[in-house]
Amino acid sequence: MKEFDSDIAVVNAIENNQNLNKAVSFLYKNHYNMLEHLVIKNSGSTMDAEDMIQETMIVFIDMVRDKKYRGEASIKSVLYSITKNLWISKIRKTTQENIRIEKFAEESEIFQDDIVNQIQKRESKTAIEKILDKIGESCKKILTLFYYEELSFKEILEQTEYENEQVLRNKKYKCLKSLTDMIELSPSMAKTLKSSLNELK
Amino acid sequence: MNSNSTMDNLEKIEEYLYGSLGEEERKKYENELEKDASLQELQLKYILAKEAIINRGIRQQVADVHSQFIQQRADSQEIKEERKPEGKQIFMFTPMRIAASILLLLSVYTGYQYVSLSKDSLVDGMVTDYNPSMLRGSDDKAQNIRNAYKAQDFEKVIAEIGAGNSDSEMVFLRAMSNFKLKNFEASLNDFALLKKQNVSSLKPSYVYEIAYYEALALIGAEKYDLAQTQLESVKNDAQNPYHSLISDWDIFKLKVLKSK
Repeated sequence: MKEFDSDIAVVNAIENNQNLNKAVSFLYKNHYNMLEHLVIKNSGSTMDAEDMIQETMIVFIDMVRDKKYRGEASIKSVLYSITKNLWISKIRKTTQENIRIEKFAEESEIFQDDIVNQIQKRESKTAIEKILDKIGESCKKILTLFYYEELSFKEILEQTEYENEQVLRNKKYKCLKSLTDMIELSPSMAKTLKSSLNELK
Repeated sequence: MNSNSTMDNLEKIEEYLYGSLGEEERKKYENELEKDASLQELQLKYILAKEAIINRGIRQQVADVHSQFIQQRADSQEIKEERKPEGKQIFMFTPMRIAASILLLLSVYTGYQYVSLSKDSLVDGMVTDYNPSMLRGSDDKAQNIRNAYKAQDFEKVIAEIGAGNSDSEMVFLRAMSNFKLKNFEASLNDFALLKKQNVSSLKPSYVYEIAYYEALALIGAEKYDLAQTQLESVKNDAQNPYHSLISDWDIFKLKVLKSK
């Protein structure tokens, strides 16, 4: 595995969606134990830690891609803060009273607001993501290869069984239409859309 | 907005967002977007849908790295666990291993001692050479006997002294010669005679020598109980110059010999 020699190198890899696997592996290798300790020390289990850390990585990637990570704090500090906020949020939902946790929550960081916003944004994204479960596997595959893997139709054609690029192109737009239709049908999405439209205006 | 127009619009939205529309088409689209709320809504839905796909992709990729990391971690912990007891064993049981090795060596040594232990080996290990005084007496016969003893010609000593000689030195040399020739019973008889003489003598002779060599002769004669008593007595007699020749290990070996 190519090691990253600085936080900037990790951020560049995530921003440019190049070597994302290696970048995430690097973050796991270097910060997992610290984050796990944070959760376990605050009444969590190793399984809780696993969930929190996985979510932490996704939130951090979001932050970097949204240009919200500006390098004013180390990746280590940001990951710590994300995990902490995710964990506090999780236990507040499941625990009625926990003085220790509230005390832990009171310890604030300089970038606390950015992280809280990013986590809230992630929660909305997760809700949208769930719509993907409602479309077929073939649609999911085409859309993922096109929008996430950023492959060309020609490259996607090699991985699928469609006759030609035009058939594939039509299929992709049909899949996209199904997805946008579902977004329209979702009340929570309608709310998100409304607020987004207002922001646009 | 019918299905086909929606698909057409989605294509146009995509081209617009990807910046692949020509200048004129782009302006036309932006004008349309400003007036058409449903197109605005569709464009936002497109953005949300694309975001959902990308987020799902990221989530899947993180999940893959996560699983790989957890698996590797578990494997490495398993390896550690497998090594742990062995490591602990080395750490915790090294003194025990040393003790066990010592015990084993002791067992082997004790076993060897046990097997090789005999009355002869015990007596041979304890016996010390007696040097008759050459200043004693002046007659040639006595001197010849002393010389014969020094020359370890014990049969000659016995023969020269004869059976009826009651001189304490000669009886003692005869007792020692019989002892050397492993005629233990004869040796014990001479020691008994000397002790009897000493009881009635104003100047007892060879008291310490008799006590020590009689004990050894008792071992040779397989009278182990008596030998043990006699050895312990000599050992505990600090005035007896032979007491330092008897060790606890000798007494132990005698006890072992008794048990064989």
